[in-house]
Amino acid sequence: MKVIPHLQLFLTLVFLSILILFLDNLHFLALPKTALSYITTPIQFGLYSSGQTAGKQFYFIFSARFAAKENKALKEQLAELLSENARLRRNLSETESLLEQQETLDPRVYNLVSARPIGLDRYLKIDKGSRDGVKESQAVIFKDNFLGRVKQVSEKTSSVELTTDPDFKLSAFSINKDGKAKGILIGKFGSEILMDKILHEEKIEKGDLVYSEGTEGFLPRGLILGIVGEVFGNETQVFKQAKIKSVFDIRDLELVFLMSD
Amino acid sequence: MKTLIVVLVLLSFLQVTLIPLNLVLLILILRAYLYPEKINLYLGFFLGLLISFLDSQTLGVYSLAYVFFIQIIHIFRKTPFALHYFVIIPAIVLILSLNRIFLSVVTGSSIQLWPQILKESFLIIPVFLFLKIWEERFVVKPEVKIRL
Repeated sequence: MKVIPHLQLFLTLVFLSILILFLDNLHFLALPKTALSYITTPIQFGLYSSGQTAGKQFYFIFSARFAAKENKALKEQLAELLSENARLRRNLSETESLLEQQETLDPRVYNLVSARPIGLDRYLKIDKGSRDGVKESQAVIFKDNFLGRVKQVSEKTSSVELTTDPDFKLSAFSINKDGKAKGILIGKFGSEILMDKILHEEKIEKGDLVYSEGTEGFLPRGLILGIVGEVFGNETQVFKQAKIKSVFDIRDLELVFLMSD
Repeated sequence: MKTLIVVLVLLSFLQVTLIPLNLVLLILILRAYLYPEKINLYLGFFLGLLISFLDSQTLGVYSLAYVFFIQIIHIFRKTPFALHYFVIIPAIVLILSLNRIFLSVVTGSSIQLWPQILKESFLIIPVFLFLKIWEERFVVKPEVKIRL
């Protein structure tokens, strides 16, 4: 009785794997990979689009279940909103000055390359690669919203590290009528975004927009990173934190844009 | 065998587009547990290549991991207690975790086991039973002959 079964085959396959790994690292397999991607990319895109469509259908079923509860809550909210409307009119002049400040952010005129999402696991996969001029660390945006940065690039596809990724870190600031708050944006569990290291005296509230500082170099200042969902922190602590919600659900996007120099 | 290959190829596409779980590796190591045959190593190698390509990783990374983990299962299968349920589940959870750690190290990204490992762990018993029933009931074995 052999101690290690199929040892010869195992060693052969390990050797072949290492050989292929080596050859691919030297880009010797670029041509067959590119040829094969003409077949696989449409299949991946088709599957991803079908998944999106199916997901939307299921979402409708689930959301219908909560529609009655939501309707009741919305009626209560409407009553509150009517009374709040009067207060909001008073604050209109302040809001106008805030809007002016938001509009004075750097003018954003960049070369944008469009790309289609073809998969989403930890990273968002897009159908543009090094052949289309995609480089690592390029910013991926939709409208004025920052979605993530290019992590890995192959010939025809790229992987985008999203803002929710645990490896993601970015300096950011939020602004409202009372002032500005600076912090570090970090991804949590692949599904949440947290703004950390906000000084206690800095003003941040639920509903404030969060923008990029642009100090990292790969993206400009003033791109929208999300909206403040919740602020938490004790008076005894030096820093407070805020939970940030993305403006767009990445699954709803048909097209994203890569920002070149 | 053809059906299994078609299913595994389809699952490879699903794994990299819609369902971020290691479904292919899970099926391969469970099959290696049930039937420690040479074909498992071949399947691990070729499906590893396919997934590396679809996942835009360097070719050979997944093949190396899959072949290695399948061989570990083949060796582990020879121990007398290997087929007990209380041994199978932790062993496979360990293999799936090691696979994620290996790929994170190779690609230079941080190790993220949660919550995928939990989801994959819930799939172990259903996939194991499905594979067992499928292979026993619907796959014709060459050694089975009717005596007249």
